Amino acid sequence: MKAILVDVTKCTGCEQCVAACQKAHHLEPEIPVRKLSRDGLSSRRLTTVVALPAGGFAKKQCLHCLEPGCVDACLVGAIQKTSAGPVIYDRSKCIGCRYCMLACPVSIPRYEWEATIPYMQKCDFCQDRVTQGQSPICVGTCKNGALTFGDRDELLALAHATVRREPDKYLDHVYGEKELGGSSVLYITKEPLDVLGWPSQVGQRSLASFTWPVMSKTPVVAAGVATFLIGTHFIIKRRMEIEAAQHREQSPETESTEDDSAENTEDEGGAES
Amino acid sequence: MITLARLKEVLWVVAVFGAVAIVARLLGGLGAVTDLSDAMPWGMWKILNMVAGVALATGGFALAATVYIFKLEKYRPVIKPAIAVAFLGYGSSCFALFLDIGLPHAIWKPIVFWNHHSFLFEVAWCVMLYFSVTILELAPTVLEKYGFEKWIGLLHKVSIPIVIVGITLSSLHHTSLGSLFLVMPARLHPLWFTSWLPVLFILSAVGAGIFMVVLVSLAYARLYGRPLQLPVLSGLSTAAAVILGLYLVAKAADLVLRHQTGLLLSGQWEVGFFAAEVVLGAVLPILLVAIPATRKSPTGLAVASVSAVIGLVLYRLNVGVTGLLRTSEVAYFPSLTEISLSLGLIAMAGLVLIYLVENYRVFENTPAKTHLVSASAGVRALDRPGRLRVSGSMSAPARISLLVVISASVALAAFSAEAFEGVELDRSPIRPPLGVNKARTVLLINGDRDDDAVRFPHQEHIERLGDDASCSKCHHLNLPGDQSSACYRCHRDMNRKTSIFDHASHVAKLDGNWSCQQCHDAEKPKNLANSKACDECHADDMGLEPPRTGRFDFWARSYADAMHGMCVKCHEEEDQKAGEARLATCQACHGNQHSQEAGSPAEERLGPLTEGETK
Repeated sequence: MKAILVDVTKCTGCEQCVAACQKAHHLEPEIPVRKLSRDGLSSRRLTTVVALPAGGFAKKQCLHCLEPGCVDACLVGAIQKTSAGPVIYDRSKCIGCRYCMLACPVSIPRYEWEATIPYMQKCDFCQDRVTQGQSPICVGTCKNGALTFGDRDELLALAHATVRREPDKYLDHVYGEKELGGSSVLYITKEPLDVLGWPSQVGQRSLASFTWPVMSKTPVVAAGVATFLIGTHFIIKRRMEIEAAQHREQSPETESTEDDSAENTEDEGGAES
Repeated sequence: MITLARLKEVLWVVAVFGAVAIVARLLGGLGAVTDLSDAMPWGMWKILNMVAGVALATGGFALAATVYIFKLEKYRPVIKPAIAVAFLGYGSSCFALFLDIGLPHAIWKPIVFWNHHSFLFEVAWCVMLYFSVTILELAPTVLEKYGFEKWIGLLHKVSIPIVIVGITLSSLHHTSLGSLFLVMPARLHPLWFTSWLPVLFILSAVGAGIFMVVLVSLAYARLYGRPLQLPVLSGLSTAAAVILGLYLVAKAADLVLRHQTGLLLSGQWEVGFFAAEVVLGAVLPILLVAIPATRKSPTGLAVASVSAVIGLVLYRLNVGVTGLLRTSEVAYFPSLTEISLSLGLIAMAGLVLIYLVENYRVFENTPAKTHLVSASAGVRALDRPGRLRVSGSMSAPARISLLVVISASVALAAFSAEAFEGVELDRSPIRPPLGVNKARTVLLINGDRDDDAVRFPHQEHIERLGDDASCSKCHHLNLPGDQSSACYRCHRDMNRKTSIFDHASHVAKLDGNWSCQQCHDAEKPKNLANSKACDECHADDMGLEPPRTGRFDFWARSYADAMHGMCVKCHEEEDQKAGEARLATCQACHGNQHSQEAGSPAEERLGPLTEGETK
């Protein structure tokens, strides 16, 4: 599985990766949009560079989680995690429900709000390039060596080695190794990366671990409810038949369905055919 | 005192506003008519009309269970109204969803493309199937009027299986609607985020759904002057109150078990919404039903049911909107179009319900004939030809027609033009530079006035590049009235984008009437869209990098493109001459942007600075 390692300490914030990404994805030029979010991501900017509070810059884009919340959320399965690493979006399946946008803990999916027929947009890990054995365009563009592309396992080893070699320069932590169940974009940094939206509440659990335990019970619940209803129906029906039979034995002329729990029987409306 | 005629008029007005909003949404697109954004992608339509609308329709399956499964015959009179409410609740939800999704024409896709990991998939299927169930359950009521005895008999035979399927589907999707929000542990406020969401959702939905049936029955008795079946309604309310009691206990237990009770005293503004939702949605209805005096009075039950319904809507809005606001960077408040569409759909459902009630045996004791003839039957609308009599004596259809026309016009006028024409993106004009000082020796290049400015030592450039003769090295057209330069061929005034291209001089230069095809596609209408890009001929003039071909946009993409990219180009050339990277670095121009002189403080200090034409 492929991955990108971002060395935050080497990023100068030149945004050449952003420009290259926009060009490679044939995005419309960015123009001021209503209610742009602070990180600057939009349907016309799939990767961005965020200034860190303590100085320095960090690239922000889809993390390509190993167990992505968006993939589980999408009701038509338009978003898929490929075995090669990229989390890709098939717009021909999309209905525009925007649940993926809520499901993503780091708010990556963006919507083409200005379009009459809008689609979701997010980083696709340059899937077409990656399948041809090339690196994503942002990695190829970076002149500062802040981005490295390769196998996830190798990059993890590289990240840990780098961090261990220069303990003054890096936090002893590889972001994306375990967060959200792991992701295909890894970060090493000097400062904590909360600003990128690494969710403190979610921590290392993947979103699927919140939803699948509940979702997987659906057939059991359905079967349980249906069985209970059918059972109740037949039991009560049988009882009523017995009761009616007893009634008929006692007083053959009056035949009415009585409700044993009714407190106020004056207004019976059971006059249906 | 609400009369039926007034209620209908109000519903028509609101429904017409909704209808105009629907047209606007289909023409203008989501972004144009709503206040939604990347940070708040779900709004009023999804949460109020869809999630809450479906929840208020639970009366249908709850009463089906009561009568058909538990065989409590006492409640048979309210089962048809409950099914009618369920049908309308689900119908309007589906319609709202159709309008809310970005691609309404793709609404059928969940039938073909499946993802069984998605709660939304489950909700979509259950809602689809249960809506079909409500149609089947409602069908006998409609068919009996037209005498389809065979069909009704058939439907009655399968009624028990239909009911069981309906209840099963309901219990699935009413929990799943809560589970939808399980995927947002980082976003949803801890007052509401809990793994118990599915349980809380179905309990509150069933409680409020039964109260909804009570409310409809009360309103029917009141509006159509029919006798109340108070014992039945009291019984229903009691059951609903018990369920809401369970909900309240579960909600409290959940807060305690999650150790979040401290939040209630935290003073966060969300606590107010939480309290309102709990008091209106559970505490007040339970109290009113618990007190015998109010339980046996129509007013008491009406207050209880209205309160429960509002409380439920508030709970859904809190989970779907309010609770997400703190973690989203951007505020959300529904736009006028959004609110109109939301309320309009509810009003439409109300009108359909009234139609069903008046034309079919939804209630056992059908409306009296006098109520069906328009309440204020009166003189014809047109008193004399050409003159409209707007008075109380107009007939009901005429009054409603008049109101429809008026409200449609008001709605058309009130909704923004954007709502019908789509988002007109604000191509913010590139403003001319400000002078940092009165003499304008140093300029503040701040094209979009966002305070990220470049402090440009203009005088210094002039002196270094050769005084007055040097102007043409960078530009000509910021000199008002300058007609002597080559650039004047194309540009009259660089600050006026409409005159950036001089068509007449191109025609003259390129051989009059024979010149069209040199720029325009011969087979297509001759307009901007079908013409050659400027830089195909003027690449050198414009100083553009070779890769940047295509149509020349009428706004600067970035500061690197300012002055046709000449700043950066010249700096790079200077650096190459000098053999060191000094001028062509970010810092060379942007290093001082946070210094004292830069940004808006300069404006404040020096007062209003002269600006050229800005449009």
